[in-house]
Amino acid sequence: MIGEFHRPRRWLVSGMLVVCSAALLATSPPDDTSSYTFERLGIDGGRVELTRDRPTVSVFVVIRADALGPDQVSSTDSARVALQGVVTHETDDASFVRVKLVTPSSGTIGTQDVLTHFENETALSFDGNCADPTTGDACQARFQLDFSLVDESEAATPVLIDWTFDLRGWGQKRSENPKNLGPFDPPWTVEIRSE
Amino acid sequence: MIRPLAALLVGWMTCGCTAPELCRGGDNRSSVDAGPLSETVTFDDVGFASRHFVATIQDLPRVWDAEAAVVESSIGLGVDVVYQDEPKGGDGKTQMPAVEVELSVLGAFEPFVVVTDSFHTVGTVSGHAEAFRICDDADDVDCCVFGSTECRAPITVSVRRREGAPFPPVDVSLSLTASATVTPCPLEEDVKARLTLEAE
Repeated sequence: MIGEFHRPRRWLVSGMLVVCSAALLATSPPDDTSSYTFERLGIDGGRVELTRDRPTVSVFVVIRADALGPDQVSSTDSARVALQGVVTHETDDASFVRVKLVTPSSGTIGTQDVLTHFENETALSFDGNCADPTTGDACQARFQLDFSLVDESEAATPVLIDWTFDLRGWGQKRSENPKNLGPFDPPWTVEIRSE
Repeated sequence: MIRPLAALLVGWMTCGCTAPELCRGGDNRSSVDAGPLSETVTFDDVGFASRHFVATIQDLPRVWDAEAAVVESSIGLGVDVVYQDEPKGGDGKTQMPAVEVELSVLGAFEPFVVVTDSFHTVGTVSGHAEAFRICDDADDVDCCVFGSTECRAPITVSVRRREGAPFPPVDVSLSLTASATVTPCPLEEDVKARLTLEAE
């Protein structure tokens, strides 16, 4: 008697499970996005010269997205900058150079006291109308690089710093034929100014 | 006929169960330590230097376990690099020259080798190597012969500064420790093994 009472309920539960599973499958978003990679490598940051008279130099970099990428995809998602530099001393009596990377969104990313070379990497945050960079507020990201002599009195001769940086960005778009596309040169303008 | 066989079977099963109880699962092991022993190597430029030490374990049990009396043993090494003058560095943000350090114990299996990072942080570089390799043959060299009451482990620490100018002179600090776990099994006597670490 008890078994007969429970049998319809068991069928009901099983049926509900099947219906729910089917509904979940039907409403789950398919993995149908194409990924676009953008990169510009080895951008020359210029030469910085530090002396006793000019022991500190700041370099400001502004990256402006001028347009959308191919297939009208954004190029500024998950953007990053990786920078590297070489320090040259005219004599063996070398002075440490303090290299500080700053971004508006994260503040000081890292400070290094270096003698021969340096490298650093951080995320770049683009602000503005990045969905349509041709209108409205400019879609742009910035970072600042500060160079200074750790001990000015030690710098008998100028210290030269040559540095470059790599920019990378990503975008994605729904597609019936998902692909990984790129790397493309990003539709960005890069301005470098030192003070 | 069946009764004697059953008695034999029960007797055999009883012996089989109690024999391993002679060694109580390692709960009577004791640990001995030595060190730290510190040494500083100075480099003005690219260069190489080595330092020699010896770890000795004494008063091991006269009757060893079937496997070993020294169950585990290791030599630990900590490496720090700082500049002799300001800025001292070693803070994870000051560029330092690469220094390669190798810890090898004569007769042990694998040396420990490490190269310090460009932005070395004091207190972060350490490693270890096995101290006492147990061997059966008395003619075997550079090992701890089964049944010995004393074993020696000659240790060499080699230091190589890989980068010279413009990096200033550095001090490379070595900190050495030794540890061993000893078991008195199969006898239940108290283990009073001693472990020492000395510079040679």
